[in-house]
Amino acid sequence: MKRLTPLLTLLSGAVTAAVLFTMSAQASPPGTQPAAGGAPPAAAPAPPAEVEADTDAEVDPDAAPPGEEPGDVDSSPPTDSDPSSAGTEVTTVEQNWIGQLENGATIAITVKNGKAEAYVCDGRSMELWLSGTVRDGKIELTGQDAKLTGVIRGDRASGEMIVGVRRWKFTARPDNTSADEAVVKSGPGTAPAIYRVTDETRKAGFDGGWIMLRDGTQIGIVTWNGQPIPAPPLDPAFNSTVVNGVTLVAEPVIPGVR
Amino acid sequence: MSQHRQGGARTMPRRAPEPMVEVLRDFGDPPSSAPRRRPSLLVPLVVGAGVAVALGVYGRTHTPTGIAVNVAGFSSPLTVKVWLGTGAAFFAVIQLLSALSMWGRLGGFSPSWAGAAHRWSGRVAFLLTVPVAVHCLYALGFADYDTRTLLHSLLGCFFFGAFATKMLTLPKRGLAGWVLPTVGGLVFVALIGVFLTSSVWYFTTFGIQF
Repeated sequence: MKRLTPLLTLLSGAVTAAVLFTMSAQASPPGTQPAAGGAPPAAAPAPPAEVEADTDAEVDPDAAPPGEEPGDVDSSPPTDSDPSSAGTEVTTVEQNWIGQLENGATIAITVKNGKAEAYVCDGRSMELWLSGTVRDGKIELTGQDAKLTGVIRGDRASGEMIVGVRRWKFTARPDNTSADEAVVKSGPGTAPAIYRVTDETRKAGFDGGWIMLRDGTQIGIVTWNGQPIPAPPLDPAFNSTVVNGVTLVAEPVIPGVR
Repeated sequence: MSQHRQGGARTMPRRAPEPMVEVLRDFGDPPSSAPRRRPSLLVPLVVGAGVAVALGVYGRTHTPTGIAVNVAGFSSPLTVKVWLGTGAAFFAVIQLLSALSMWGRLGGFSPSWAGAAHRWSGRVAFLLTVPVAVHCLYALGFADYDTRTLLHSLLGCFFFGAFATKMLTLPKRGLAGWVLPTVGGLVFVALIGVFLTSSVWYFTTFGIQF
């Protein structure tokens, strides 16, 4: 019996690791929650099966985890809300508009109480922050050397953005797909679609912005040593990511808060 | 020294009576310099090396998700890991002290509970490292941005390999006296190295946060 205890120690560590891996695999960005394009029925029964398979088969700490990679798009609301509820308080916005500029960049406009914040980025080198208002179907935003105007007709927003002497048209559609999840968490509202690194991080010389797209992917840019670089995806549980070994913490952009 | 752990309760099997067996062993076991039949460390070493390499390969090939589960009560994933790691390092120091005590290297201080303290501090330390390692491997992966991250990645993989080796070595009886202290020392050094390249680096870079 005594000879077995070291093995039991190893085994319990392996099982713990397997459980944590499974939970991690199920933690998914808020944007993927609706899984509108995916296969929601299949996602529901999958997680328990995964857990069982892992704890049973797990003898080595490294045996099961690699097989779980596909699981990270799975979403399971209970496990997701547990860890994230421990983090920052959930805030919501009224409406997100997500679309494209003529030059292929992605634009996201988030609206709350008539105020609006927008983030435009191409995921590689170009980014722009704007703020302003969306009232009575009219969008008016300004940023550094930039001005964006547009109108909302039905479920379609369109307009143009002028940066310096350049001008791009844009179109955007509402993104309410996260509304259900937001209701579960904190009452009516839409989950934020734009994230930016916190003020403290910006004071430290880093900047970064992310747009949570409908399909659950993200697009973003981190300014590293003054150079824009593609941003690694934001960990939705902590709103953080790691760039070159440094953790950047982001927070949702809520119009009117700043 | 090696008799300390065994407490002399288990008698080592005598040299095998049949010469035939001895000859066969010599064929299969080239380093026959060992005067007594020592238990083979091949399996623990191979398994440990396998664990270390597998963790490294997984961490390198698996695309870092940047996503992993959170632990309640901390401001960010990094502080969680930093404090879990600090806890593990704390118990690792207890490991060192209890081991020294068990082997009679703390003067006369060798209480009867040193063994239990050693076992339980080791279990706690190991279990504290597991969530940290999962987050590292799953969310960040094996990294080599700079010397610190490379060293941290290497030591992290090595630690779990060394720990697996230690656990698989423990049940073996009749080991040479240097084996367990050496393996245990390697585990300790690896863990402290991991701690220095993560938690201590974090505290000195960002200050002490919760």
